[in-house]
Amino acid sequence: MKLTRWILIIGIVACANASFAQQSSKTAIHVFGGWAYGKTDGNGYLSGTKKGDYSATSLSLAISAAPAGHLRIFASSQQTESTTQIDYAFGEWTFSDALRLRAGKIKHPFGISTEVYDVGTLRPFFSLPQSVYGPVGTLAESLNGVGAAGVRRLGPSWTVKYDAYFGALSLPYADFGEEGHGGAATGEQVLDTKEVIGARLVVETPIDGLSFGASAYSGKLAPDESAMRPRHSAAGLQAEYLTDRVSLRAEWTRPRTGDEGEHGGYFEAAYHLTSHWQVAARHEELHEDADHSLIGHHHESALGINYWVSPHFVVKLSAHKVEGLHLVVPETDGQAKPKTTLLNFGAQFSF
Amino acid sequence: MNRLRLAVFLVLAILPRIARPDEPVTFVIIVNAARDAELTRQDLANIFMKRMTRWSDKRPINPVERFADSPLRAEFSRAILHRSVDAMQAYWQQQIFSGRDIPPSERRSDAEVLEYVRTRAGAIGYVSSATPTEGVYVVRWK
Repeated sequence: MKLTRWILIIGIVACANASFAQQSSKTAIHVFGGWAYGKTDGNGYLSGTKKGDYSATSLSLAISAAPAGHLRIFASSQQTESTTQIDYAFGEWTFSDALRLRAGKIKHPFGISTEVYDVGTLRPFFSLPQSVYGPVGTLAESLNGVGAAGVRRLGPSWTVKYDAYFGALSLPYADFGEEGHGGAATGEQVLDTKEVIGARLVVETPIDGLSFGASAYSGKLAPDESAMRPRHSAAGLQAEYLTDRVSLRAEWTRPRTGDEGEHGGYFEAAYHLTSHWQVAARHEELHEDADHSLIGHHHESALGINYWVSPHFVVKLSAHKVEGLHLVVPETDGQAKPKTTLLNFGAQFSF
Repeated sequence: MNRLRLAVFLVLAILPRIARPDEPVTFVIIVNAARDAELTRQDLANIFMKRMTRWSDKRPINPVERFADSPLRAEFSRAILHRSVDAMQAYWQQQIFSGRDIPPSERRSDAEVLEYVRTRAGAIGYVSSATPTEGVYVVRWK
């Protein structure tokens, strides 16, 4: 099975130039995916285990179609080692540049990378910073509901992009183990939140590539999550600067359920030494309000070096130093260690 | 000291984006129908990045690009979009995979771009300034 997937992935990448983004004026098909090997010195984290894990593979297909002048249909599905899922599937009606209405399973417009969560060719590290994009109950890849989006130019050089949405979110969060697991996360659960109202605003400045933004949403936990149905909400701030050589990103988020909350953030910098070689660094932190122990926080620093074969295919190597137990998983029948080192190697593509 | 290094790094990174020298261009912008209004570089950038999708008469704008390996596209991208072709491909990946939009159609030669613009309402493209532009209109921009 793994061999079949490898043959499929290699075949797709090899054919990328020939079949590049199959696109007519009305329909376009795009593909993205990747593979990673991860090895840690103890706990499991991201694609890494103590023994070394080769199995992190994913492949996604994205389709867009324009059956009528103002109507577009977007859909994407993803296959991983263990699951096949619909990432998004929605229709969009364009009234003007300032107003597009969407309905269906739409992308969750929150922060910089939620809408391109699995597209590795749009970031310098194999995985997104887990303090914001990990299982921390802040972000979902998609939202079942309706949304409006638009863009307006403010004067000759400023641009504002905005989204508003209503619906239901399924938010992944770390599930903490019982005694015997060292208290660390043992897997992921989903926080179902309904009647969610949210918005995002991003301002692009006259300096090419420099933008700032804010996101927020609030909804009620689904009845089966809690009889009290407290509100679950999150807010975030973002800043991004992109040039041909440099990418700088910073985000801060604050999810909150009832009286409990946490906050996480990161800063990431990457620099293209040449058109092929890129170096990157990132630091991130996550803190629970009420838990100041190792379980309640996650500190991570990472360094990476990438070789971009083209903008559509990149090979990545990174080293990560993690402190805290909030997002790591202990080895089977083992005790979680307070610190984790991860070595990650992989390749990602899109076209 | 670390903050000083970071500040120097940021200034050096941002400076070239602000102080961009004006360079002579060897392409002309062409449209399907005559348009009186003079377009700015920012207007053209918004059109080719699909942030502006309607002409002032509300008709849809239909941009067309040269293929990514074309030197003319590299020049157009640098002069109008202020980004390299690689950076624009990353921009379009962001748009595609977030379900926002898809890039403009692409054509291999000036002749194919001319044909595209000539035969499609609302079309806009660019060709080498040495290319005869019969049947289309050249856009003034600043």
